[in-house]
Amino acid sequence: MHDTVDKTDQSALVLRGLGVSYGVIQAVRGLELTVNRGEIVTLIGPNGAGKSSTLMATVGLADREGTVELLGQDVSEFGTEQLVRAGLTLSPEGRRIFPYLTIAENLRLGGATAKNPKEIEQRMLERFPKLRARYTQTAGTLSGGEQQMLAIARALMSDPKVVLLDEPSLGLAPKIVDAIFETIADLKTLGISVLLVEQDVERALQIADRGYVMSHGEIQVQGSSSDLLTNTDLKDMFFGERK
Amino acid sequence: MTEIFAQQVLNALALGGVYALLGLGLAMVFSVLGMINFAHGEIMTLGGYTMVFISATFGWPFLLAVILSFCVAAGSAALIERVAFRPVRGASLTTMLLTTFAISSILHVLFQNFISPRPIALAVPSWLTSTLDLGGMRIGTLQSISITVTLVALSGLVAFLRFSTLGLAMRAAAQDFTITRLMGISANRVIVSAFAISGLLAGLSGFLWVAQRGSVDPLMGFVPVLKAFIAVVLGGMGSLGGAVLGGFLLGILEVTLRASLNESLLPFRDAISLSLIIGFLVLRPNGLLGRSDAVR
Repeated sequence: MHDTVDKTDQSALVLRGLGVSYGVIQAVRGLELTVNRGEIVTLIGPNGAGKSSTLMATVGLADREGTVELLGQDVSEFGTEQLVRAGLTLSPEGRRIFPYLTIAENLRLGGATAKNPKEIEQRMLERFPKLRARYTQTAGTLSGGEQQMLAIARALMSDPKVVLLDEPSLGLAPKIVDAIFETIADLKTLGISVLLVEQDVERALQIADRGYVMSHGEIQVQGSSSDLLTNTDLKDMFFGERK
Repeated sequence: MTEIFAQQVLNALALGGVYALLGLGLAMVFSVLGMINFAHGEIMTLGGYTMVFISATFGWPFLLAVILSFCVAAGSAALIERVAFRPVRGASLTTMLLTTFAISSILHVLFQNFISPRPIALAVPSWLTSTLDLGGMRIGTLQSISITVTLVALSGLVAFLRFSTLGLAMRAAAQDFTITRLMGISANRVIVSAFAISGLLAGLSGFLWVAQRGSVDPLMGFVPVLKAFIAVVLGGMGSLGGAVLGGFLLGILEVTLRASLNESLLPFRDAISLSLIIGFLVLRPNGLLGRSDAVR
């Protein structure tokens, strides 16, 4: 274990031997995963594979074994709040915005640890103009797509270096999905590293640099996105109807 | 007739204000931990004893004793969270509820054995029990102060919850505590602040209650906190605004029944008001402003 930051390390997030258990059920075991700086990595797999558990455990919202390194620093003992302050954040599955707070309040909370929250908020409102139009409205009154935009904007308000996104396109109209994927791809240009869990496997691999395929709590396959997109076994598993 | 009516309105608002403050204290802790703190009444009592001892033993000015009692109530609530609730955080709801009963019992015994099982009188200043003449109408000073203190406290709390980051985090925690931690805000800070504010509100209501009764006893907090709990349920579990509304409505209901029931029915006043509330909850199980997802 090392507590100092290694500036030469190109990895943004490293999970080593990550394990997650719920009572006697082991949801994730021995998971090894790396996201390099400025890289988009996708974690795909069938329902119940342990993808969301991996993300929740990474940010300290589920008990875990193993080690977590963030920007070259061992943060395994950090609590969720410390991890956010250190530059890691999660946009959780199901959006989980605060429905009875306004959009302005949701964003303000998201930026509670940021040095320049007003500036980041302006950037978010430029990126998501619908949020500006409904700024004083309670978040629960937004459509599903708008809520997803708010969830991503809220996560970005903390000025993170690494963002974990859990099923950002789930249940959204195709047009909204396009906008969401465009935003995720843009994060790379801002130097933000992304670990993306997504059920739309093909879309996820199209914007990702690399991918990990998870099943029964373990990584089964990993590789570059182009390799995974042409992997016959994966095609059978995920894009069967397109064969 | 008009004067009697005005007096009853003031009585209702004053009593409702105490229930609202206490109910809001219960609701604040409920909103972050999903548990009703039944030791809340003992914190109110502790505030009352602080007032009595500081003004009687040290002879300090009454207002100073009142302010110190607020500090003791807020501090003791925060201390109880640190010593008793934090170690069992994450345990089952039943364990946490049993912890609140245990703290309540321990404080009871301490009050009885180290202070007195009998009521101790508080020398309430005469200006507090006097009446004001407003355009020919005589209004009790204490009732007026009760209403003013309640309104100021509620306004201050609304401003805190709306404009401060910590207050905003408390409102967010009431909706989704797990995700509030993802905002980089310390869970411990949110919880201990909720307890401290809840204690401050117990201290405020303790002052109003003791000033009305003129004495403090070990069981003083039991009945008002039970009423405040009813107010929270009536207003809707998990809703801070609901707790305030429920408190005022319960106060109005009790004073109306007290004024309108004939003498033979007066002993059944609480039973009647509870029956009415239960009837209302049958029709509206989540209370006035409650949400179906609030009870965790």
